Amino acid sequence: MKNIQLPPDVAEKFELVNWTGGARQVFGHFGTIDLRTLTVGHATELVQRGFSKLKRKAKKARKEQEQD
Amino acid sequence: MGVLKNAGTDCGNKKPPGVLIDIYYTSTTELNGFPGLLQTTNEGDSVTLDGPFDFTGAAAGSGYWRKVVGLTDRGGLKMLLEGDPAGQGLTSSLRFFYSGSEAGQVEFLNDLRQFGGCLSFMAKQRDSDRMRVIGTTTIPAVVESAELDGGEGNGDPNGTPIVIRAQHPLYFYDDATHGVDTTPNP
Repeated sequence: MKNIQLPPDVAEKFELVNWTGGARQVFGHFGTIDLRTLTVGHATELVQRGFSKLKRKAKKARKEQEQD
Repeated sequence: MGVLKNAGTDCGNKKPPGVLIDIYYTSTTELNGFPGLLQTTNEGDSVTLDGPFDFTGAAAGSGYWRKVVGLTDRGGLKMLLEGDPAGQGLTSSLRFFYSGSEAGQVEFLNDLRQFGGCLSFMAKQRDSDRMRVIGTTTIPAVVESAELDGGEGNGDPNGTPIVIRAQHPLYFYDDATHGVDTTPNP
């Protein structure tokens, strides 16, 4: 099984949606995405461009995570 | 049996003119099934794969799409209607030129030969937004021809024209949505 995890700073703000397979994948016009080295800036840009496998966490969920 | 690897094409060696395209390939034995075709009825759906490729269960160090950079000046993706009218079928092919004749290039060809009949390829046609897939688990791709030529004389190209074939229509794959997994299994 391939280990899929966002970097901690990215995981604070974003979550994966139906990501299948390994950490490094090529997504057409979105380019190569490597979850191991993904930055908050790149994640923000991807979401703004409509990348469907990444979603910004709701503020409430982020607060709950911070409290845990 | 060899191990399929990424095949590089470095600049700095003489190359014939052409369009460089990224070609991905894998052994169908590493796949956990094969995506189905879309069941919806929009234009093109019956030849479009409905989900990502699943490499779950492949051995460590395998289970991913390898990449080779090819030139498609004379070739590219084609589809041919073959056979007599009573038994016609579609055959898809990918023709590309692989530059160089060093050990890496020879190894790549040797690997393709060993995995012949167990291969799946995908490549994007110029200006297209979706991958074309050649070779499935039930109808795998074969290397129809490959002739490495070191090019001794002036004007001789140094490399290998390669033709990949599979007896099915070109299947489309939405790589921008489903991705091309290039991570080996741990």
